[in-house]
Amino acid sequence: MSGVLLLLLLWPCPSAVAEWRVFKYADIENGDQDTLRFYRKWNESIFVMIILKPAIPGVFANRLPLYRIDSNPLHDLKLYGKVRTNKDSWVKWEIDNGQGPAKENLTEFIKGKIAVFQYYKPDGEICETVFSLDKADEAISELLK
Amino acid sequence: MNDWKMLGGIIFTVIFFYFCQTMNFPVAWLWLPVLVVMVFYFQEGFWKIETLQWIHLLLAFYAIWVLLSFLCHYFALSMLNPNSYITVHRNQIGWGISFLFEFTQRYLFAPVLFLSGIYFFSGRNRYRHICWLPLLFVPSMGVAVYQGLIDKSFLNPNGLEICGLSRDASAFGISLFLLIPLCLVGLITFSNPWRKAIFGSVAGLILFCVLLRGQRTTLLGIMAFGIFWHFIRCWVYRLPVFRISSKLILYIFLIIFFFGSIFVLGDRLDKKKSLYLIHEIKNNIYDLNAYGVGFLYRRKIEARIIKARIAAKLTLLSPISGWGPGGFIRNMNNIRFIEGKKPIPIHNAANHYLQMSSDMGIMGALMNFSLLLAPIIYAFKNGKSVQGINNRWHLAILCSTLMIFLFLFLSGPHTLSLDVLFILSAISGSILTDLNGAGGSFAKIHFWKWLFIFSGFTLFFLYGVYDNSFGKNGYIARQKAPWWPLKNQYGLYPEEKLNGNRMQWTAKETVQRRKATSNIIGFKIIAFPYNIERDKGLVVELQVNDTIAGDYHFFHPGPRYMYYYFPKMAKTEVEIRTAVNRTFNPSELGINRDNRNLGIAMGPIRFLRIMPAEGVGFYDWETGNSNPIAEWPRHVPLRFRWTNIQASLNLTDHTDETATLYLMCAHPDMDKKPVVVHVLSGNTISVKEVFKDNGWRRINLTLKEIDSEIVTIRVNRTWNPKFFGVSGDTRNLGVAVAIPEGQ
Repeated sequence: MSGVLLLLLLWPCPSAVAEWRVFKYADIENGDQDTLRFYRKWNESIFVMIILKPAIPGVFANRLPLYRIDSNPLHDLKLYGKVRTNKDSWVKWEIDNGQGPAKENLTEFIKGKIAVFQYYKPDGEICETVFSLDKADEAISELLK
Repeated sequence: MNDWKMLGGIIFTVIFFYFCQTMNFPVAWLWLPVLVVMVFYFQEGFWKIETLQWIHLLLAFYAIWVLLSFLCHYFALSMLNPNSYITVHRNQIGWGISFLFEFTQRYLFAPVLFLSGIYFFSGRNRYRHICWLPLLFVPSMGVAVYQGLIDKSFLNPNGLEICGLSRDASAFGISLFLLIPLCLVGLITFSNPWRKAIFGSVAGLILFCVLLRGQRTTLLGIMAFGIFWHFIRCWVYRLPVFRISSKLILYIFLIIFFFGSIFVLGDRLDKKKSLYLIHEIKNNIYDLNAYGVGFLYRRKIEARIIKARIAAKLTLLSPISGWGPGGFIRNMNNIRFIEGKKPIPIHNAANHYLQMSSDMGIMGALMNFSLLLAPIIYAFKNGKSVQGINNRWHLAILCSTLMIFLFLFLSGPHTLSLDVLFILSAISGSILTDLNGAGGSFAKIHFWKWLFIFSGFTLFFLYGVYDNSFGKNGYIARQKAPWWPLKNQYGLYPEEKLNGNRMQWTAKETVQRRKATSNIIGFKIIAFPYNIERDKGLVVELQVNDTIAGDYHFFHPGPRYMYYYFPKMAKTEVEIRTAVNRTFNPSELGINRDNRNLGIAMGPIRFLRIMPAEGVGFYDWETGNSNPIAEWPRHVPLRFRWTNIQASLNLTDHTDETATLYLMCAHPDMDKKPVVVHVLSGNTISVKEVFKDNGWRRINLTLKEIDSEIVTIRVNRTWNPKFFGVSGDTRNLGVAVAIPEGQ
């Protein structure tokens, strides 16, 4: 009887595991329906993309997001070189050039637990979108194969 | 003396109806004539203990229980903060107390009117005067005919259904049912042809009003009375009930003909569709054929079942004494919330017995039921001793009406309407006096013995009331219950959507508690033009854990976002207060029918995990025209930002071991009233500066010494340039902060 109880207690809870989808890209959607996406370009460089749903007109037009993984140092995308955005719903940046071992910024995602992105609406509201990085290592490894 | 009683009764009746019901005369004023009636009654009868009957003891203790329940709930509600909620949805203490008053008055009118009924009809054969009661309603029925045929909105508070001079269309319909038997009593017992003609005409008018009003409960009552008629006649003439006679066949034929002609000829008779009853029934039949029983159930019955379930649940949760007068209404949506269901519109229990059991508990409901049942028991016990055909007709018709009404109580607490309660009390009083006049005796009581027993019951009832008002199931305990969603807040109205965004309107002052998930708290506030004064604006103050975080003047409507950093706030419960200097009432301003006093609209409180790169609590960057700071790097324009009460920024990016800030205040009155500025790292004050003039001050912070990455700058007060007439700048300004670039 106690064995059955122990089995039930240790039974993996599916809802606690982040649902990564891996196809041509690896992505995950959070409770706010925003998406964190990793993808590899033809030149092997790896990009990260944040997609907001629904789109907020002008949200990335003047200020780019900040992000932090766990208690690691803060990253300010305005300091990054290869950042692209459609200004309203998505922003993407190169996180690793794909040459040699994984760079530190990518490693943070692979080893991290929680990624917080802070963005700024044109009317002055500051918003955050949070993604669980549980099993991100498996999803990104699958993408990098 | 009897003539004075009669006159007093008529005056009382007229005041009761035509002031209370039609002119919305405050019910409280009616206590005066009621008191007079009671004094007369008690002076004559109550103190003669040997004449007391069961009914007197029931009436007295029922009134005492209602009063005790009212007092306990009133004081329990009064002890709460007036802005706190007593329901999970929208209603505050004042709302609850208003319903408590209203239902207490209605419940107390039952014993008072009952006594008045007995008093009014006491005297030789005076009980027979009840048949004149329908005449009092002729003006009301005249208005109802006008409403039904010509203008439904005439003297009609709801405008949808005809209600005569009553304020309640349902009560008007139920009254019609009660008046028909009274007309029949007059029609049968008077031999004078003119009187017969009068009662026949009034009966016809009542039936026409029944058709115009279209209430199914009324029709059900009349049909039930039709079925009873055979038994009434058999009892009056002492005939065998099951003998088929030619008169019985004729009677059944007449009933079928009457209702059949209504159905068949209804549309032809009524081109204007004012005979609402026919359309109501035809619509129901059509719905049944077209959509089935399920549709009809959902449309007509489901809502009643839902309310009955709520009332049953409330009764089970407080079985002894219920939830106090008006308790069903005060708590119905709390029960829905506990069960995880959506709220339903405020309404009574749609069943008299369940309404009484949820408001007054099983004890109170039994007491109320005893009052209703007493005349029937009295009649069954002593009816055989009633002599004379007219007396027997009178007793049989009224007693049958009362029995049918006990059945109709299943469809609603009809006696909550004073017009229905009045007629019912008169009928009960008339039955009792008829039987008394006939020499019947209704169990004279051993006064002191039963007084002792009823006092014991009263103590038990009081225990239940205390438990549900002050005790472990009382209002305060309820607001601390795990399911209570609003226990941590007052002054905030329920969440609603404004332009698609989730917002809550505030009252003048609000308090709410939230579990902080980080050290940075964010507010979204929307001001509306209606409470913004042209010269003084609208003042809004925000407070977090007894610390004023910000104060703002809104001179223009619109949204504003505020963010504040409080060290060590994460994972603690924070108390957030807001206050506005002025509210507005949309209903009073004619904007809409919203009768709440509104301050500002607040969005959901957010907690940020990341300190924004530019800090929080600052207004936008400004560039100085000249450079008044001697140490400021040459050829670099002076850039600074004003704060409100407090602002915070992250200094970890600074490469040097020391960080330099320049601070400046511009309060026009600081020479008389200095401005104090604190620079804090974490919760520790690193620097304190007192400003008496508006020069820039240099502040050096040694980063190694400060115990937090984030520095907070606080001023003890702000000033508003527009309010002071200095400029058109509408911001509340604290201190200007400049940090040389490169640090």
